[in-house]
Amino acid sequence: MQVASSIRSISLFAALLCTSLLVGCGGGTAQFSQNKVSTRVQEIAGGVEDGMSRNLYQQVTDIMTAVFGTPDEPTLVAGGTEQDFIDMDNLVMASGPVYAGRLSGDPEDLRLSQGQGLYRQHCVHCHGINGDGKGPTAAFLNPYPRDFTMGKFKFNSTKVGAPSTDDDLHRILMNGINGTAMPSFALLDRGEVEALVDYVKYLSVRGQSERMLTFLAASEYAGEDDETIPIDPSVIIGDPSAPEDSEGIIGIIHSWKSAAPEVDPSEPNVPLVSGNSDEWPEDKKAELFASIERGRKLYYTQEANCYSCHGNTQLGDGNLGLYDDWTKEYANWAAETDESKKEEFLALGGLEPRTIRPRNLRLGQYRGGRRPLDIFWRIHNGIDGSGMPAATKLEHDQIWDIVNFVLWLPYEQISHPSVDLPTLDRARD
Amino acid sequence: MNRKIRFTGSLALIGFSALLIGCGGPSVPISVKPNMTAAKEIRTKLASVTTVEKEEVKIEFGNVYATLKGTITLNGAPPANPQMNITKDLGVCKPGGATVLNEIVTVGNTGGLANVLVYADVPSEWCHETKINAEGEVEFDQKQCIFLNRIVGLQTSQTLKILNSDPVGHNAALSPAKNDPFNETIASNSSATYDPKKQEKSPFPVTCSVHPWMQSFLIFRDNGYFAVTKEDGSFEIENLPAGVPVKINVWHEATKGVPGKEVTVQPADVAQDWGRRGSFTVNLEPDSQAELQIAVNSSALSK
Repeated sequence: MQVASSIRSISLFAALLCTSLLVGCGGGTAQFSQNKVSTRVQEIAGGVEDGMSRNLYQQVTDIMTAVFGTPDEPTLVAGGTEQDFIDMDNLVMASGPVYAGRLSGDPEDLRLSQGQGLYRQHCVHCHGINGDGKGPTAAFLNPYPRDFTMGKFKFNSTKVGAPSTDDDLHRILMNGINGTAMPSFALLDRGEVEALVDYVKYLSVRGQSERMLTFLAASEYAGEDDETIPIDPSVIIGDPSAPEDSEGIIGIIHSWKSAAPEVDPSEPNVPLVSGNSDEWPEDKKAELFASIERGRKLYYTQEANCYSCHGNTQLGDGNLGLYDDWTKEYANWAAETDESKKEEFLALGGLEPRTIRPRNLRLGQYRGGRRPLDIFWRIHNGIDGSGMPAATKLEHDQIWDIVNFVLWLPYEQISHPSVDLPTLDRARD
Repeated sequence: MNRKIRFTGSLALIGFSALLIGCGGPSVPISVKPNMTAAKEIRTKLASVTTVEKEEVKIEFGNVYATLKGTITLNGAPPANPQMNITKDLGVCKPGGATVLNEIVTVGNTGGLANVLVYADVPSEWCHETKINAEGEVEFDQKQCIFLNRIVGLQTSQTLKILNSDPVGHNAALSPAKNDPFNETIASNSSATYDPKKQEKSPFPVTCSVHPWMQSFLIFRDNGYFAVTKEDGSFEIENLPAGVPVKINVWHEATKGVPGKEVTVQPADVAQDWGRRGSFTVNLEPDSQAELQIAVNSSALSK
């Protein structure tokens, strides 16, 4: 009897222990966590291979919390330059636990005062609470969800290296990304989509600022006597009176504010391909085919150099060993042979390095949008982070010809079977 | 029986050590949780518009200059350069199927270490007139799918001209920290230009996304106080401000900033405070020629 009861109490204790392990130690409020992969990268770049002191990690985290708040209570302290950058009401609306604002009272009143958890309802499972593209589903998706923390997005109207415009992010949210796990959010209220656009910008600037601060800590203060980052607004926040030359967070925000479409292409001088050739107006057919053939010729030139990656047959098989910038951040895996290095970054939360594929142009699947203008931008501006370079040397007319060629490819047969096939013996009888 | 005990014991030992090591892989970076009280205090400080004017100690500069020259050698056997994984345009990039090495470490006949960048941080008001506002183009070429220079410096007043001397198309992707990134196609025997706007603190990579093994480094500076060591390891920077402290940085692509514990310097008093990140301070005699003999441990370059 006594034995049985002691067994019972042991199993009760074990059950309690298990539960506490499952629940974990982390209180109820959501917190952003350190970007360990990029921190490690900055440490190596800053010459502190052995890692920074605990005090510096703590300080970076506290400065980040001071400027950006928490996932439940986001803030942005940037000397006033944040005011025409992000609508704070939008930020609040996208933040917080799911439905927090809708459970009680009049939803209209709560909408602006409390988080509605839009981000955590729609985005967090792939993009993660930090917006680092490492949500719980990330490892199962191909391509991996976008990591916002470099402030870099692929499908922009802006030039390579410049952040997205609001319209660019809005378009991706409305249309989704064809051929990936990113769905369309066109069914949300317009206000909700705008709130998410602002929240994505907020997470991007947050991620970029964390990189900046970690690099500052690793390259300036680690290994020094007191290992402390001085809380100097002019270094961390920057100079609000001259944002264009400012360092710090104001400089990052300024780059976002000044993002603008790189080109506003004049109306094309050629008609544009839309659908298969039997849908084209009769009087435009000759002109369209001429444009397609000019585009085909350009595809194989070195000025455009499309064939080099998209392949001689446009199947996207010209260059298969490439990695994108989000993966290359933690090593140039095309050249890296040190497996232990990979293990280190995987343990820090990095995703298994995976090559990217140049687009198969015959699928008719256009990730950044299927409008002719979208394809024009991809060719003219390049695709940020992917290695696709900008073809700025080409005339706009030439780019429109390539656009026509690309839009036509899904309808073109890759090979033409001979019409004079020999009849099989069996069929002869 | 005995064996069984030993077996159980070793099992327990394994389990115990697994607990000690934990599930977490590397020990850095350490996980920390935000300290909300500290964050609140920092927020108040960062939100205050009144910035405290920093007390600047004015150093008198007497418009006198000196030359810093030296030789950088390698101490020990040079680490083997890795083979490049050439997977594309083999006819051009790997002529005759030859093995192509990634020549990260180049050591000359005399033991000199080539391609070390030595550059000085000089405030604009101390710069000698011959060291600012250089004009013209600095050429940066690629041949057989290799950038011909491993490290190139130019002044922000100059223009970078990226050439392509290969029969295949390339593209040059620059990812500087302060300047605009750049990634454009360059057809064979043509070129692209890039205008740097701001000074970069340290070199940044230039790559080719068609040929992922290609990598080289660039740096943009507001003045001409930089030099790259030649095949014999020698470098020379003229007209450096003298009689005032000037910070000198030493950088090699295998180790980035060359750490002080990896070098032996003669005369030792010139570069006493050589830090972890490859910089030290000199205070040169006016109109003198300071000469440094720097030996870098080869182990520093084999990481």
